[in-house]
Amino acid sequence: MHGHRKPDQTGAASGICFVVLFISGVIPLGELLGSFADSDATFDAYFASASNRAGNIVGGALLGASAFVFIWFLHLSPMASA
Amino acid sequence: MFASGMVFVALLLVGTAALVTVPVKLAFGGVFDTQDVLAVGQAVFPQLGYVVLALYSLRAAGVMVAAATVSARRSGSFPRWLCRVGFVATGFVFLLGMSGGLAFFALPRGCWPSASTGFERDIGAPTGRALSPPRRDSQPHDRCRGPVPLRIRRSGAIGRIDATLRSRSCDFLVGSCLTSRLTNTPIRDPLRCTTWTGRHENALLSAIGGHSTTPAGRASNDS
Repeated sequence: MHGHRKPDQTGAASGICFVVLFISGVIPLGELLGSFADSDATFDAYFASASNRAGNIVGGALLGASAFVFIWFLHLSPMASA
Repeated sequence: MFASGMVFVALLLVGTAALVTVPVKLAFGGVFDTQDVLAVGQAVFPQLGYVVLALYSLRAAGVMVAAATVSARRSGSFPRWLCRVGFVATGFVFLLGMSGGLAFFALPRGCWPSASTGFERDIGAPTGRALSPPRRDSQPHDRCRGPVPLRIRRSGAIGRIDATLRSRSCDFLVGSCLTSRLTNTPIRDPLRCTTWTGRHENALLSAIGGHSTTPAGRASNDS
């Protein structure tokens, strides 16, 4: 049964997948995260760009996906009961 | 670990939802002909998402990393160097979460000096280190007038402990003064490692805001 992975390997893969998804999701959202306490006009100008909106939507989707992958990681982790 | 991890996931989803609410609305809101519904919230939702993600979500992540590290250390499933890396990562994630909330932490820190100043004004200047022997000049002065300089445990920058100690100290003094009045015994103050004689009772009560109400106390204060 060479095609089956051990649970530890699957857990590690899910953790790595979470990290990749999280970082790739935060990068498009970085400018929006860094605009904390900016003026309302700044947000209006930022959201007026279609590319910014698309990047934010993609980043949000990746970040949400990373959250679900992290649940999978927690489920597979041997230390989850701690 | 599982609970803190789930809290992290929940906060991550909430923060992400707050961040992408406005872009999703602007991109797809035209389908429902609702272009101006979130005109006010355009600046609010992204900042809410930032607070949830950078402030609370990272703290939950820090708790999870700490729980995983402690669990691995107990079970021996991680090598020692990896456990150390885990503790370092815990501190880093906590600091990362706190750096996003410096404005929130600035408020208590700003209140601590004022609370300490008020404490010095009400009871007396807390000087010296914890439970060091009282100096001669820190004893209540003979005529029992004005605030009494007391030696008290200094809590440093932790204002909460300082306030707790202040409350406990005041309660202790009030109770001790009443006991001393009934039993005619000196007041023993374990916090300050000293003993107050009965003639200073009214000065103590005055210092902590509990003014004497008996004729003898008023006469003692006036003398």
